[in-house]
Amino acid sequence: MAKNQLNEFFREKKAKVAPADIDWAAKRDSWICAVEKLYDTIEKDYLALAKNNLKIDRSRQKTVTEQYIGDYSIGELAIAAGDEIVLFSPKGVNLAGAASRVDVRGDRGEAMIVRQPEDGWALVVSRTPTLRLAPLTDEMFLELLRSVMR
Amino acid sequence: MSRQRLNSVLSENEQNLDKVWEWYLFRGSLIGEEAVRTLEALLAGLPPSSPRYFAKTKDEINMLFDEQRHELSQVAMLVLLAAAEAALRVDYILRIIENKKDGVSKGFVALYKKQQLEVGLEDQLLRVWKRQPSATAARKSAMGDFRGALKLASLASARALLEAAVGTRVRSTGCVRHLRCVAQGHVDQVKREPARSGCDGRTTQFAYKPNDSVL
Repeated sequence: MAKNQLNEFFREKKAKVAPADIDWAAKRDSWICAVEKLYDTIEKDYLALAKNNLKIDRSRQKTVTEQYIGDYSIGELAIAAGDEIVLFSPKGVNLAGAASRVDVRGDRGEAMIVRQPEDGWALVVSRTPTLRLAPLTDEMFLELLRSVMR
Repeated sequence: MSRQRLNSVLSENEQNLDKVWEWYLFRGSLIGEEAVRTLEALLAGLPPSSPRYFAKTKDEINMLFDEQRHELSQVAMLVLLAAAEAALRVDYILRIIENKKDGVSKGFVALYKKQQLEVGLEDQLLRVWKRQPSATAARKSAMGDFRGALKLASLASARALLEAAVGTRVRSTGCVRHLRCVAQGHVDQVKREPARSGCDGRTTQFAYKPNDSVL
């Protein structure tokens, strides 16, 4: 009796594994592509007029390990200004309530940019007491840098 | 205070050990249920039940709930120790009121004649219990464990005070000196000298294990 129940218990657990109708490879590729587009926007739009005062490094790669997807390589973006570096580091796609996320780290602190399939990239202003997201624009990008840099 | 009036010092509000344990299990199960709900939503691609989980990975959510369980167990430990101390002190008073003739009661009456209610838990009440010829090895061992837990609790509560004072989480390894500063009320000094993992040779290092069953 108990053996049957154990079998049923693990059968239910197994059934909970990855939703079968998701093409994880396509999701990964779309995510990598979206990150590159974000970096393009940052480099060629937001920072277009500031290029003489900073250095942008897009050569860094990081390995991300995610459930259902496995290991993959994805680019980081580093902005060096004076003796400071701000790093944009992709986190992944298996997240609660968001399609994907890029973490931003500077000397002052950290911030988070999320991508929603229909709304594009947004800065997470606060989680509690209520979730506040601000669409990423050149103005918000400046606010973001101010919040993480010295 | 005369023995007849000792009843008035008993408030009947002392924490009941069973109630505290029940509260701990209840809160622990709430954390577990919230963890399951949050992880199920994540795996199903549904929005999280609370924005506090927004954009977190599975590992980050697990870490968040691990921290909550750890904090809960620390608070429960402190409350349980306080409840145990209250029970021992109530027992001390009741034995004096009832004036029984067993060894522990006689020891307490003698203690009361000297110090009334101003008695230490570890060095006086527990010592009377431990001195009894009838104390079994298991009972002595339990008392030793309890005294050890009291020492750990004082470290843990000092850590909590330190965290409240400096507003940050203290790392797993720290200096006893910093905890002593807090215990002595030198919060300003703690702020000037934040706890660090590497201490000079003049200070004593302690290994603080967050996953220790007692903590």
